[in-house]
Amino acid sequence: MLLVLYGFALTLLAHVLARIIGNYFPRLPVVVIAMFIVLGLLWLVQWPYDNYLLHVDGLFKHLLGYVTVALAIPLAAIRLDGVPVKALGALCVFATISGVLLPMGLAYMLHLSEPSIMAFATRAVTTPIALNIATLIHAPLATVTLIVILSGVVGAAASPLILRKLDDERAAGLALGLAAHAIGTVQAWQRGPVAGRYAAFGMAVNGILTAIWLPTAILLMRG
Amino acid sequence: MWRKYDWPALAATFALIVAVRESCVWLTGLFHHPELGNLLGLLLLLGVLVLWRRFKAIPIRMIDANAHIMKESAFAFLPVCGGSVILLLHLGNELPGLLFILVFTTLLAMWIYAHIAKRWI
Repeated sequence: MLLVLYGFALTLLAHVLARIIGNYFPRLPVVVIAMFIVLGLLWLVQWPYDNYLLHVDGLFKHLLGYVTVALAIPLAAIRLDGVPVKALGALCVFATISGVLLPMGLAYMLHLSEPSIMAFATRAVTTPIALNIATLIHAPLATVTLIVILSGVVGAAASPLILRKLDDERAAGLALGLAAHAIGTVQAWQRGPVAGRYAAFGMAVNGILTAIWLPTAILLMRG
Repeated sequence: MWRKYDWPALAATFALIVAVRESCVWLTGLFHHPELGNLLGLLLLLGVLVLWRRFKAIPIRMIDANAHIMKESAFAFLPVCGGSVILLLHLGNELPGLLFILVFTTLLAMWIYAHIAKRWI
């Protein structure tokens, strides 16, 4: 129990330090700064990562669950007045299908192993939902987590560059939520509440749609 | 800093989220699928709030408090984020291909979605 509190305090310290450092580097996602501070602090106190994770995993799985459920609030509060709902729906359907087929197709073309190809199926889905889908389609959970987290980090880190000429916060938010899921959504909240709400909307809709069609399609294909 | 936040609204919103999530995990656990608890919690709270919105506006204090929670939600990802960097170093031969697909598909998708969204919405 003491090590759980110790791990929590270490992670919290990394988060607070990252917020402070982030003030000086506003274009760098806080989560990217914080994850390197976590690794740095673990190295400093000579605490092996596996042991750290063993102790804090249960607590942080709860927190990840709360983040998933918390998405319902901006999703329910979002005002779609003046937004073409059909076009928005079409974009979400396009995103959920391309988010699965593009990385899986590339992984197949590059002759990656079957478990790695399956792990790419959930690249565009937020971690808690991705882990649920991965369990249902028998994809390796560790690789799934790696792919989801890293794609979120890459998307969030590169978003200031990729979206620099975009003068529409709604489009920026949607793109971040659809392509870089939860970490992208966190980055969108750093941009502002409009981008944050649209990112949460894109991420949640993408996650829900993928959680419905992907396991069904794979179960049907496997007979 | 203390006065910057609406603490009662933050506490109430967090308590609501915790109660919904934990009830759903308990409920799905009864059917031997606790892993579906988060998804059910999201859908349940969304359903309740959409229904609520038909009769009354969602309290602005709750939306603001949730925005603060979302802004700090990066904290929940830190242990797994750190682990993904370590796991990356142990991938062996598949590392270049995996990294290429990961970076290419994420950035290409973001660019395409942003431009489609701007044009359509």
